[in-house]
This record gives sequence, C-alpha cells and structure tokens, in this order.
Amino acid sequence: MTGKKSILLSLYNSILPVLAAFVVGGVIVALYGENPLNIYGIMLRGTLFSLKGFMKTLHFAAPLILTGLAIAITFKANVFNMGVEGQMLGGAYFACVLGFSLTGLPPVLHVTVCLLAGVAAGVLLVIIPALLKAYFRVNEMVVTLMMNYAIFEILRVLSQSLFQDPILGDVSTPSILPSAMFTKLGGSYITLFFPLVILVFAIMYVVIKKSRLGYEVTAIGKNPMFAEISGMNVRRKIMYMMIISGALSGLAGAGYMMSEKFKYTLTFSGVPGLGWDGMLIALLGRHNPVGILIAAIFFAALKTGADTISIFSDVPKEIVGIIQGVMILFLAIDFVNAQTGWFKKMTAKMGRKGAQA
Amino acid sequence: MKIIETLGLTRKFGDFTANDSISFAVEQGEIKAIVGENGAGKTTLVNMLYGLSKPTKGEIRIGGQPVKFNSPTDAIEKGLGMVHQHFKLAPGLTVYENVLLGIELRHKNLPFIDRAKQEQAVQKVIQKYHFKLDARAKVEDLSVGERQRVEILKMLYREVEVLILDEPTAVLTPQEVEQLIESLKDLKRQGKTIILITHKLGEVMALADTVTVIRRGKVVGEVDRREASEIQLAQMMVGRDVLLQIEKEEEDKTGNPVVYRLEDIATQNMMGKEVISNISLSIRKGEILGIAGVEGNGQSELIKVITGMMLSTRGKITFKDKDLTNSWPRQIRDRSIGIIAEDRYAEGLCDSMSIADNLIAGYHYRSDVCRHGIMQKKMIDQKRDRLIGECDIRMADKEGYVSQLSGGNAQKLIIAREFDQNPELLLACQPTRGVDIGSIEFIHKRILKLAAKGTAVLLISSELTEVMSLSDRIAVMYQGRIIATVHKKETGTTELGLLMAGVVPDLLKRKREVTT
Amino acid sequence: MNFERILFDMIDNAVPILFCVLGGNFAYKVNVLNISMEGMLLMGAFSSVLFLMLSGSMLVGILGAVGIVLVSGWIFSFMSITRKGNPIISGLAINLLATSITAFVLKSLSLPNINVNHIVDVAGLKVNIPLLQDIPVIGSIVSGHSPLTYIAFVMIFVSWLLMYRTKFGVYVRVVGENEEATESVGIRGTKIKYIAVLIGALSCAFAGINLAVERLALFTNDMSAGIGFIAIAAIFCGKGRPSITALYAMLFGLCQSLSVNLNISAGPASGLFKTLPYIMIVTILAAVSIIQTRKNYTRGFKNE
Repeated sequence: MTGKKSILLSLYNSILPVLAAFVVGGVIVALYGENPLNIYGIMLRGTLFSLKGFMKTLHFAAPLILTGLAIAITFKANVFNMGVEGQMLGGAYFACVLGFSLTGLPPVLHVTVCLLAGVAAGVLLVIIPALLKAYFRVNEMVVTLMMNYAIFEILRVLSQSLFQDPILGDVSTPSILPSAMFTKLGGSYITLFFPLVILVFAIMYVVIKKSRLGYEVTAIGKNPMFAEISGMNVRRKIMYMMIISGALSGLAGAGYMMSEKFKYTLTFSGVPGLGWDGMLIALLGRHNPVGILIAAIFFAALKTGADTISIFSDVPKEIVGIIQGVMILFLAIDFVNAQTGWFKKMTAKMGRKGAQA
Repeated sequence: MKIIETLGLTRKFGDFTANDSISFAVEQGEIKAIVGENGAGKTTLVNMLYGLSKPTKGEIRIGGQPVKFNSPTDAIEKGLGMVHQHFKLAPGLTVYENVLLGIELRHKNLPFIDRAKQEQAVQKVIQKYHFKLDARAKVEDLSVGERQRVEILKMLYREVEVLILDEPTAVLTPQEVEQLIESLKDLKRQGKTIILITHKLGEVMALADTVTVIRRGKVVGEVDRREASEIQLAQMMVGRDVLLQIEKEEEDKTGNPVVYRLEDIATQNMMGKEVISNISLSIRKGEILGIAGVEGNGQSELIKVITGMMLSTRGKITFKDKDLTNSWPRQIRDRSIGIIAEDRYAEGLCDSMSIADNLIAGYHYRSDVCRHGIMQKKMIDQKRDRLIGECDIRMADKEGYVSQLSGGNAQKLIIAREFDQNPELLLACQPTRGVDIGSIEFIHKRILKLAAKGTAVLLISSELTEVMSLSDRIAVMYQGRIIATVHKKETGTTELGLLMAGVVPDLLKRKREVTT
Repeated sequence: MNFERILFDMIDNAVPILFCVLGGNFAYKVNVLNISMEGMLLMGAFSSVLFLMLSGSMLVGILGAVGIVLVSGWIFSFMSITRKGNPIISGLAINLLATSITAFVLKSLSLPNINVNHIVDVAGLKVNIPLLQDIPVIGSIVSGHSPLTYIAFVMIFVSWLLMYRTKFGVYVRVVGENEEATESVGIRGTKIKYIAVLIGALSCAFAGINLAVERLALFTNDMSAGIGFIAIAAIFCGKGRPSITALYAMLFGLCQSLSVNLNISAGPASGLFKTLPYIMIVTILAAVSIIQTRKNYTRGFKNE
C-alpha cells in the first residue's frame, strides 16, 4: 500500500467516528426539542469563530496537546501508557506544592522551577511501569491504569492533611503564589504556557518525524522483532518513550495548574480528565503530531463550547461528554480498512496513477 | 480397501498454490508417511483432510464415498482424527477434561458434569490402548510425550478409524520417539490406519508401509517403503528441478586465518528441552562454510543464537579473537558482521514501512544517513536510489511500502542493505528461500564476490544444491547437532543426503573429521 | 475503634465489589480485559433507581437495570470481540458514556440526585437472621444486612459451580488457555467470550442495584467511586478463581471500611487504605512476570 493511500485511510477513520458522534449527539438534541445544527452553531461561534473565544480555546487546548502527544508517542510503539492521567495529576501537584511553599522567588525562576518539578514528577511516576515492561514484559496497560487510582487517592489524602488549605479545609491545597502563575496576556485567556506548549510540540514533531528515535519507535510499533534484529535495543527505547510520555504528562499538569486552576482540588482535571481527553485526541489524530494539534484544538473548542450551550439553551452541557464517549467508542475500531469495498474502488484509480511513476 | 483417497485436490491462497492437484490413496490398516520439506504443502493438505480448510478444487473420498468437510467435527464423524503438531490442549485442565472436550458427560438429573463418570470412561479407553496415563492428572504436569498421548487419546475416544499425526516427533526426546513408534505399531495391530506427516526419514523407515513425497505442493513420488532407500527419499525431498551451475574459483583457503569460531554452543526452548548442543565450527577469512540439513533440525535456533536473538546456555562465540557470546544484534553489526535473517518478512524487513526506511535499518544510526540524531532524508533517498540501481530491484512505486515487492526483490533489498556495509563476516540464513531463479542467481554471484574479496561467510540453508554450489566446506546438522563437517571436494549429494537423514556412512567414520 | 462496626461495614462494602468480581472472573478467564465494569456498575445503579422511581416497582427497577447493563455489555463485546477493537479503549468509552449519560439525564430532570426513599424503606430491607443475630460479636457482624448481601455470598459458591462443574465453565477455561483447542472440536470461541462478558455485565447490574437501591435508595453522580476498578484488581490478584478473588474482594472491602471508620482516629491518612488494592495488583503482576522471564532464553518482543 502506498503512503498516500494510508493517509487517506487514516483521515476516513478519524472523520467518520466524529461525524457519527455528532449525529448521535444531534439525535439527542433533537429529542430535546432543539435544532442540532443550531446548537452546534452556538458552540462553534463561541469557540472558534470569535477572537476571544478562539483564544480561550487555545488556552484550554494547551495541556491537551501535551497529553495527546504523551499518549501518542507510546502508542506508536504499541506500548500503552494508560497512566497519563495519574502522571499529569502528579506533575500538577508537585508544581502546586512548590508553587505555594517557595517564597521570595522572582517569577521567571519560580515558574521554571515549578514546571521542572512537574516534569520530574511525571517521570518518577512512570519509571516503575516502564522498567517492569521493558525488562520483565509486565503488562503496562493494567499497571499504569491501576496506578492512576492509587495516585488519585494519595493526592486526595495529602490534600486533606499535609498540604491542606487551612482556610478552606476539605480536599483543597492552598493557592499557588502569584510569582508561580502564568499571567493572562492582553485581555484574553491565553498565557505564556501556550507558546511554551507550541515549542514543545515543535520539538516533539521533529523527534517523531525526523529523528532517529522517531524512526526506531515507528519500527518497534510495526514489527518489534525486525526492530530488535536491526539493533534498535527495544528495551531501552521503550524506557525512553515511557519517560518522555511521563515528562509530557507532568508538564501538562503543571502548566494547567499554573495557568488556570492555581490549586489542587478533586475537580482539578474535570470530567473525564485531561489524561483521558488526551487519549481521545491521540486516537483522533492517529498518533500523528499535526493530527493531534488539530484534534486538540477541535476538542478544546468542544469542551469550552459546552458552557455556551448551557447558557443559550436548555440542553445540559453533559451532552459533550456523551459525544466524547461515542467518539471514543467508534475510534476503538477501524471503520474502514484496506479491504473495505468502497475504499478499494475509490483508491483503485490512485493505484493506476502511481504505477506509471 | 482405499479408506482415504484424494483426487486432484488443490488449495490456493489468492495467487499462491499451496497444493497442486494432489491425488493419492491410503489403504485401510496401513501406515502411510507423507514426507516433504517445510513449506512443501503437507500441513495444507492435512488441514483439508481434517476439515480445517476447504479445497479450491478436487475431491476427497472416504471409503469410496465423496465427502465435504465443513469443520473438524464432520471429519471426526467420518472416522478421521488428527493429532496436531502444536497440541490443542488446555494445560490447566485434567486429562479427562481435555479428552472429553465438547462431549462432556453429565449427571442424570443435574446440569453439572459427572466427574467420576468422565474419569472412568477415559481411564477405560486408556487401558484399552495400553497407554500409561492417569486420567486425573493435569495436563500441565505431564511430559511432552504424555501430552501427545492425550492428543491421540482424544481421537481414539471418539472411535476414529484413521489417525493423522502431524510431525509427531518434532518435540519428543529419543526415548519418547521409541515409545511412540511402539504405540503406533500397536494401534496398527488393532486395526487402525495411520497417516504420518513428517520430514524425519528415520521414522519413515521404521514405521511406514508406503510413502508419498510432496515437493512444492505437488506429489513427486509414491514408493513402497520396502523398495526404497533413505537415499532415494532424501533426494526426492530436497532436490531442485534446475541445478544452478555457478562459476566458482576453487581457491585453497586452508592457509587463511580463522576469523569466526563457535565453541560448544547450546540453547534450550521454553520447556527446558535442549534444542541445539555441542555446536562447534570455525570459518576462515574468505571461506564459505555451508550448514546443510533438513529444516527443523535446530538450524532456526542456531541462527537465533548467532544473530543475537537467543541466548546460548553455554559455549563461546568469537570473531577475530573478540568474544561475541550472547552479544546483542547491534553489537554484532558494529563488529562489521552482516546479518541476513531467516524470515524475510518477520525479521529482515518491515513491510509497512517504505523501501528507503528498510534499506537503512540496522545501520540507520551511522553517519551516512543520520547526523546529530536527525535522519537525513536526502542522503537516505540517495542511498536508496543507488542501491536500487546496483541490485536491480524492481518496484512499482519507489516511495511505497515494501509489501509491494516480490519475494525475490524483497530479498535483494536485504542483500543490498547488508552488502553495502562491506562486512567482514556474513551470516546468511536461508538467503534464497521463496525467491525466483533470476534473483537466486544474482544473490549467489554477490555472495561469491564477497567471499572472493575476503569476507567469511556462514551459509545456513535447507536447499542442498545451494549449499553445495557455494560452499568450500559443508557441515551437516541433524537433531540439533553437527554430525559431520566435510570439504566440498571430498563429498557428494549421496553422502550429504545420508548425513541429512542422520545416517553417518562408514567411509566418513573412518576418515578424520575436518572440523574446528 | 469499634471492631464490630468495621467488620460489619467490611461486608457491606465488599458486596458490590464481590458481585463485579464473580461475574468479571469469567471475562478474565477468556482473556478479555473488561475495563468497563465501572461504567456498567454505574449504569446498573442509575437504571435501577430511575426505573424504580418511574414505575414504583422494585421488579421493574431490577429488570430495567439488568436490561440496560446487558446492552452495554453487548456493545462492549461487539466492539472488542467481533470487531477486534482495543478493549481498553472500548471499555474506557463505556465508562465515559456511563458517567455522561447519567449526568445528562440527571441534569435534564433538573435533579441533583434521584431519591427513592419514599418507595424503598432501606432500613426495612435489612434481614435480621433469627438465631444468628443473638450470638454476641458474630451476630452483630453477620446479621442485619440487605438481601443481596447474602445472595452475593451464595453466588461465590454458584459461580464456582458454574466455572468448574459445568460444560460452559470448561469451555470458558479452555478458550482462555488455548482457543485453538475449542476450534479443533467445533466449539466457537467467540460465542463463549460473549457469554462470559455478559455474565460479568449481569453481575455488575446487581452490584449497582445493591449499591444504589438497597443501601441508600439514592443515585448520585459518580457513586460507583472506583469500585469497578477495585474489582479488576481483585480479579487479577486472584487470577479469576472464584474463591480466591472473593477473598480479595473481602480484603478490599475491609480497606474501604477502614478508610471510613478510622477517619476519626487517624484522620485523612486513613484514606491511604484505599490505595491498597492498586498497590497489590501492581506487585502481584510484577512478581508473576519476573518469575516467568527467568525461564526465557529468547530476546525481543512480539506484538500482542
């Protein structure tokens, strides 16, 4: 199969589930008595078609780009880091703690320290599953998945005791100091975190598409025996990828903490959680950097748009969660593959052109 | 009476014909052996006989009546039972649970299985056929030979008249083979018909009444065992239709220094059984050492060990006096050793990656294609164009995936990749398996050229003519050991054929072995 | 520290876990990784309360819950088994859909939660076993639970019978160990896998009924609280065997109980008990794999 054909296949397998999900959402909206196109229009206007809305969308897309990349980089190698959510929370928490405990630091230094702490936390939380997978062939899916819940409980306990906000009580840490916060630029939502994310994205793009590590990761994902016999030291590469994944997740959490939430509570990550959003984004974007960028922005638009829906209509904003769930469900399988009838017919013309090259 | 007969049985997978118009017959009460190399089409044939696969053309007759099998249950109903090479047993369950799978015995009134009844029923059948098994034992606690008996028992319980055994001795120790041969002879006495699929000629000679030889999907011979000799059978199995004559300069290499040495290499499989033992050999600079042998005698495991994909349990590997034992593939290539892996598509190539990406694999970190960790697309493309030209690799779309290439072109790709590095030692494993004649010629010429320039070559191949035309010295592998190493000039097809069948001719015993 | 209270709560907390575990064991034994138990549990809780509220009848509530959860189970099976999708992703989707659909419906009914206390008398449901309840210590622990609690413990034996003494149980275990063995005698592995997953769905429905209707007569958002995942941990730790996994379910029920009951004396640190299930499963998985790799002489990974 040619490269062009496979890109087309990927596009179809991403767009069809999205359309299907919107159809399902539309049906529910219609049952509500509202016009689906109207609702979707409201959503898009508030998020993509106005400058302020678009800035807000980009702001919320920032951590999602990172978690999306975190998932994609391991999935490309057929390794499944399901712990992105937990690593993200860990990164956010570390950053938060340093954010409110270190006083007297100039903002640039404070922000840098907190971000690095977030990255370190993410890496620390992924090391054990990574070692177990690379050297002992333990199923990393289940291990990382379970660790999410352990991490969540531990952070909850910490927020009720050691790091509890003395005034608010219950499950909440104190707010981070202003010197650790990302300030909003201009009058909009967006902060310096976004350009930082774009920088990281650019680096990851080069790594995935053009670097030796990217080449090896692709080979490992497609044929690990081939990779091993070609000297790619699969064990070590798996470690590298998991570590990068953990680092990106930690950074996402730290950045989100410092640019939006400023403290840790039980609702820090939203529903279903930035890590799981990242999963959806990675799937939509077919684990491809550019795809992930587009999917993240699209998805952030969806989420921020949910709020506008509830302002302008009776439809509860939870409809977005339903659309999201349907999307993931359909993305779990390949709608179209190289054997599907109509796809074959359509691309038969392409094949003939290529043969003349 | 002909209990099983096939008429023009054909099976195609797309364009590939696995079985081409096979017609043969099995007499009731006889033991028939179906022999042929791996990939000859034996398993495909048997899958059709057992209902696991439907014929594209042709007919199967049982007891003179044409039959169509849709599933193994149909075959069992007609009295055919199959014992697979890879046991289809559930290790955590007992013998009787496995034997009665699908036909469990229940309590009269309750919906539960009557374990006592099942145990008794199975133990009765065990005694009838003189197997020594405890029906209550868990399969995971049984030895391999005993597990095989459970598989056989599964079929005997269902009162089959014909037993088909697919490579039954591949996993057995010599003593277990003896026991199996006795059991099969006993079953024949009790009136059963047995079809034995194998490539081990020793068993054929001990058991079979008649032999059908299959090569490349076709029947190439039917012999009565009493009239045939092992030599004839060996030649029928491994000979090629076209003998390729290669111009080879016959130089005496005995003066050259030894560059590659294996000493007492051994390894074991997942079940702890040693699959290769006492492997020792040496190769001199510019020399081609060929390892001949029927597939399945340990070559794959040896290849895995020398290419770094499997650990050896003892022994040493040295290259130019540097210890390479249990090195990883990367370290092996760094020492200027080229690797042509045994399975082109599983190991040598990644068929969903581009031709360029495959051409650099294994050497992708070297400075001609990778600077500062970034892959240099232009240089990679240049390399690709150069190598395509040098080796005349034909393709429809040079940017496309490797899956578009024919077997021969894909193999040439691997050759191009490895040879471009000018290795000092080449490990060539089954280099022309599944390759068209033209490409075979090309590959052979390149190997000879490489050797002439001073590269030592280890050639492992199950094609005897290939080994004979290329090698300076030939080692023969049988049952995981090297049973002889000879100079090409001092031997011939006959002697090699015998060695491959495990028979060491007297002449050889008296000669001094030319080895390490 | 009131031991009796702790052990009493242990039993109550263990029941929903136990239900999920006993059903989930079958999916485990056929090698289908069913992550969606959390979502199915939530749907079971939600549907039972919703149907109860709409109809006033317990029976309709139960049937409704079973029906809805079986549908979710069937969707999961279709995606993961028939269409060979990644079960983790389809499982995740079901969980997400469960959370969103339940929140959505609650919002559209403009209710913060669904309260059916006017229909169901929770206290009245409790079963006080006549002679047993008078035995000191044991009586106050064992007696006085809701009916499904006792049914759950009976189900341990029933699921054991199903798995080890029926034809179906044999097929389940064989499909999990060597699917080819079933094909070679003409049994379809796909059918067995479907039924195994649906058994899990059914038991999750009852877990939900117990959680919502029996114990609180109430449904709130996210009341499944990770029980589905704790059940997964118990299943893996016990390798799908009914007796052992039931013990793990009790252990994890004890952890829940401790984390609540010790809150007053030990403060928020008691919440750490909740991490035990997850730590255990990671440790056990690691130990098993480490032992297995010692026997292996081959290098390289294979795509699973």
